[in-house]
Amino acid sequence: MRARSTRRAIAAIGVAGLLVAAAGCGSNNNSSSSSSTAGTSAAAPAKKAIKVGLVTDIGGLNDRSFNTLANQGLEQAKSQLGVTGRVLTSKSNADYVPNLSTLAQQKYDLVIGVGFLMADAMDTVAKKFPNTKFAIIDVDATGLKGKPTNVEGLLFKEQESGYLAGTLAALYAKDNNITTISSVGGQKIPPVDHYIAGYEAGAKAANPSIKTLHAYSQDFVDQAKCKEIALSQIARGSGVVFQVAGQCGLGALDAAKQKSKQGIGVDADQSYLGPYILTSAIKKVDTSVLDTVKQVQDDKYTGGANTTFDVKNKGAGIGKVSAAGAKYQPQLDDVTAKLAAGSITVPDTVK
Amino acid sequence: MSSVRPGAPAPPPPPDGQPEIALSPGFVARMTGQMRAGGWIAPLLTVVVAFFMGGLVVAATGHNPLSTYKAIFDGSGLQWLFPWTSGPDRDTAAINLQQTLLTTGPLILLGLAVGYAFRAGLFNIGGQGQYIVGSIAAVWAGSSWAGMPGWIHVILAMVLATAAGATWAGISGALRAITGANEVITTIMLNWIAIWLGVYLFGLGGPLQNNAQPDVPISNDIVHSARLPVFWGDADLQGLHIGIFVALAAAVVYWVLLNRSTKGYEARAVGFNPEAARYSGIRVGRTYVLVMATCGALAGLAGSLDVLGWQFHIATNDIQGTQLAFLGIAVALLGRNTALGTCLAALMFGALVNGTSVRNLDPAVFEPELAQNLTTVIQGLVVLFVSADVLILLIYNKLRPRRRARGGGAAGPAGDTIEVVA
Amino acid sequence: MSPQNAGAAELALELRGITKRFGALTANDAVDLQLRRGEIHALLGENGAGKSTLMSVVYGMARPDEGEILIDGEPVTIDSPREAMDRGVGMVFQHFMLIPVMTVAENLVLGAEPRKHGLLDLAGARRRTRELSDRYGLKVDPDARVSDVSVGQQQRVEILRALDRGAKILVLDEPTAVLTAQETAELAEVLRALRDAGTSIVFITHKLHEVLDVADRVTVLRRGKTIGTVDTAGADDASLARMMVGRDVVLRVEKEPGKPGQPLLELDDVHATDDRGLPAVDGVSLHVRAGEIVAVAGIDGNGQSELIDLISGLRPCTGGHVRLGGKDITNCTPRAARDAGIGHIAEDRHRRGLVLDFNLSENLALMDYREGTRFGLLKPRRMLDAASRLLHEFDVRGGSPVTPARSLSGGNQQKVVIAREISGNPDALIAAQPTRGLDVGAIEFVHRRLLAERDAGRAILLFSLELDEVRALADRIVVIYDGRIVGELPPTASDEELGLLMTGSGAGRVASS
Repeated sequence: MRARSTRRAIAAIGVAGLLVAAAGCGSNNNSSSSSSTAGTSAAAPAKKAIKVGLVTDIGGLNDRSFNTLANQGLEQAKSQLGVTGRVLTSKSNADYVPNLSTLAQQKYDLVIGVGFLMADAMDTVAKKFPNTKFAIIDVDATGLKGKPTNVEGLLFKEQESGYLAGTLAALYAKDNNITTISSVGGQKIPPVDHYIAGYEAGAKAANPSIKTLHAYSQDFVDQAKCKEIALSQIARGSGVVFQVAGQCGLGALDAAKQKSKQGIGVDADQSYLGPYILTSAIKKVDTSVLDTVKQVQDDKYTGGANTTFDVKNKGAGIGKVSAAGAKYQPQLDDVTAKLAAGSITVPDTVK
Repeated sequence: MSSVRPGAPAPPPPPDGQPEIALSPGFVARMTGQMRAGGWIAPLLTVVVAFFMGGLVVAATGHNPLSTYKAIFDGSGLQWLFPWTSGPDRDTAAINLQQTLLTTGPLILLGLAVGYAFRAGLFNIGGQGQYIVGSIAAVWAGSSWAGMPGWIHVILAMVLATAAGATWAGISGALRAITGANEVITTIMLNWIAIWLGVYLFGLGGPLQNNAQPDVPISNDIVHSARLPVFWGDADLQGLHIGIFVALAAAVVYWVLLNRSTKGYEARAVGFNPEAARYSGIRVGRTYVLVMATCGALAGLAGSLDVLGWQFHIATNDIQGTQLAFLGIAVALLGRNTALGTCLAALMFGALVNGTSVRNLDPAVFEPELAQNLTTVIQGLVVLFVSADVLILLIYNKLRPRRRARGGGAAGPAGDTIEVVA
Repeated sequence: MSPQNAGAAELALELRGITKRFGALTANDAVDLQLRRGEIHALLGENGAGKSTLMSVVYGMARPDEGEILIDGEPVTIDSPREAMDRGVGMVFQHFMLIPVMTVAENLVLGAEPRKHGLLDLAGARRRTRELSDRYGLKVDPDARVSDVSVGQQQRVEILRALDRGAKILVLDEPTAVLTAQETAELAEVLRALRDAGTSIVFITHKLHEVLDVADRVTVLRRGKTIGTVDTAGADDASLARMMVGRDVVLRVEKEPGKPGQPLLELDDVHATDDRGLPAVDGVSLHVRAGEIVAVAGIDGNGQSELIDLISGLRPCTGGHVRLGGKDITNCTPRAARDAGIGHIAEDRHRRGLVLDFNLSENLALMDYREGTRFGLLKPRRMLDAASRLLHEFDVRGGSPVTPARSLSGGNQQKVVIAREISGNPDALIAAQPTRGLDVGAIEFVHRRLLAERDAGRAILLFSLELDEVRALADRIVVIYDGRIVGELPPTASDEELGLLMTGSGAGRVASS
């Protein structure tokens, strides 16, 4: 288990659970924008000089997904908030406990872990080092077995991102005589279903007569599987394909491209794939890291509880909208405002 | 007196050479027969050359190989063994050495699981699958029956894991014995079956998924009383559990089994010459089954050590990420299928894995992005050079032409072209 | 046979003081050899005497530490087989260097292929093969696949190939080791024809009668040294054997008439198939009595191997019964057959008789390693003691109980096999080709031992391709042809009588091959 290999990447993607995002070589363009939209004014570097450690899961720093985004958040914190930071990559799950405890021992003020698989390790280490502040992405801190009071959970409302994407998809469909839109999930696990549930709810709200299809590839890696599913959905009339399957999902987008349909990316902004990417449903892991660092600097850190990132605090949303979808920007702005105001409640389970 | 029977001159291949059709026979024959050739010098040379090449790679990235290796050595915690290491350095070293030995234990078992098969002329690539079914059995047993007395519970979980691994590998042995199916193929296929079995069992809605968090594809936790006791370091922070002694004991058993037991004798006879073994009444097919089952038992035990020692649960992606068993093949190759050699090779790979851990490498010495790939590079080089070790032997013998006549051209293992008769 | 052209003929090849060492081992110690043009010169010596080393020096595969090589009176150095070929030296190895899936013609031109428009000229290859075949009177079928032709034919291809490369000096390394008696006789004819055509031939062997039969002169090596060169006219078995072994050798052991008792091993109409599933043993019935040696004579491939396997439980018996001492052991496992009292000196000691990478004590324990064991643990002390005793009793030289079997000479390896089988105290002993590849000294030992075991009351079933051996040991001879016993003869039978039966003619059948 501690050994590594090419399959590391595979495991990683399984790990991040689905959350997984854009693979491929494009840079995540949204990172700069997210920092500017992060809410607060650009901080003066006169803040408290704290030490921040980040422990990646076994996907490593180059996963172009969660770990990459988290590291970008840390880099932003270093440049904007004047903190010192260190990243420890994990080669296997045997590294979690040693990595977390090493940083705690070295008196880091804040130690951030990535991914739900680190939950137990985080739980144990946090109990051992009550004076260190911890945060963990994608884990409900109140659900940790030891109920530590010095772990903050960083959660995302993926369903709100999905809702916006579904709104855009349905609007586009209506104007282009498309009766059906679809989504391709990796495994049926909560974050994937959050996205899909939001996507379908958003689409129905924008166009009650739209038909929605969804299916799961049971895989986060093999592009061929997702492509095959997307092709069958397109054959059944789908004009917009939303991928919620990490690397596998790139195959679904490829199917859309090949059949001249629209595709929607997930987790990170995947507009770099081409103009056929209508938009991307994203979760801003970098923002969550940056915000948490700020909390600690400002003594607003709340251990034992969660911070949820959603449309309202600009921790979730959609990425770049393509030319084909640009004319629906007003409707999207409207939905965004309603989501932020809480006047729309988005379901988070797939019917 | 000597009679040198010259076999092949260079041009046409000897007609009595066995046709090298399958991927394994030649390789396995080499491993079975020639593993001891060259004594301890060839493996040592292999390591030196591998590290030298690794050093070149490090240098090519613009870093100082010596300081990098020093950092890796420190990160492995091995300097704890030096009495002059003191103060906080010693504490850090202790923690690192605990982590190194935590890896070493299962690696010893996985190396033995490959080595024993090699001695019987079989190539067990199925360590991974056997390790997985072992850990599945251990996590199931260890997370059930909460009220059971601790030591009985631990032993029961290990026994079940051992049995599961033995059964899994025994399938390959039986297929080989009954249908002649190549165990290389069947063990690889069983690896995948084990992986997907685990993904199913612990996945969402799977029969062994945990009860507490329905969102997370992970098993239940091992109950506290069924965990292997930690004897060195902090029990909560992944200290060293007694599994290392289990592994060392298994190495002793391995030595006795191989060299002093009738079953080991049969295994070696079959490995060296199945035809002669059959002629002398040894049941070759049954030996294949027993040998594979023994290998699987060792690998399954390795799985239980990790689960009961520090991991305490299995997530679906842990299963897909399991690569330790493949390292076990490198351990067996380098350790020459001997008990002692396997232990030393396991320690070396354990130290390498943990020494290159990013937490131990000062980012000023080596960027984390590079460091995490260095193990893989060195590991790959070692495997490469161990496999090429017939070449090293050849060169070695050329430089030291005593007793052995010239190697007859490019004759393969079956070429056995020269026979010096004393 | 007569050295009519010996006289003052020039020397085709001369070796002066060749010394070749391998580490501490001196394989050739100042060896001299003079090969006259147009003669057949035998190089005779026991296994390990240095014959093959000497010829590998001539063929450029080993470089001598001292001494010189002269070809046609010119001093030369030969560093590679290719250089040797260029200087007119051709070599035919014991193990042929042929590619089984190719045709005879393709093999013959391999390495010097005729080309036409850059492609292999198959017609040219065929023509060349036929020309050579005609010129030297060596009949081969150019279009037959090598895997389909007999060993003797394959050897002819090797010889033709050497001649095709312009060999004036032809070295044959133990060419008869793989041949049947019939093929050996044919080879002798071929060699005489080549000699008469002017080729000079070195013929490596350890078989005395072949030397006397084929060679004009013979040089004897012993322990790496030249003992002497003599004309074969005027030499005899005994004198050559004395030169070779260094003492008087009994070439044909004296044999008391057997005193057979009750039938011990009985075969009753047994059947078995070969590896391809074709009938190979087709209703064999015979019995061997206690204190009797029954020899099964026959041309190789007439069901002997399958019959041996059948008796020892290695091959299913598809019909009939095998009984040992009245007890039915048909289709026993190999172990059960051994436990019942079958001993088995295997046909091929390297492949079947020994585990070459095991040491001698481990090899000697192959049958009884479980004896006296407790908790499944071996008794290494017992094994070593037993091995020491057996090595001493069977006069195995060159090894202690912990020596790997691989490092022994062939004769000593065979003694180990025999020691193991006899120490199991079997009622019936199957001895398959027990002296194949052994030199005279070792053969004498094996023959004496088999007779002693007979006299000790064992039933011995001997399989041998050597008629001399069959006659020397057997109390009765049965002849196997095409999977059946076609006749029984006394040991006094002549070659002709045996030959007739062995080729199937005696039973009124037509030889099919």
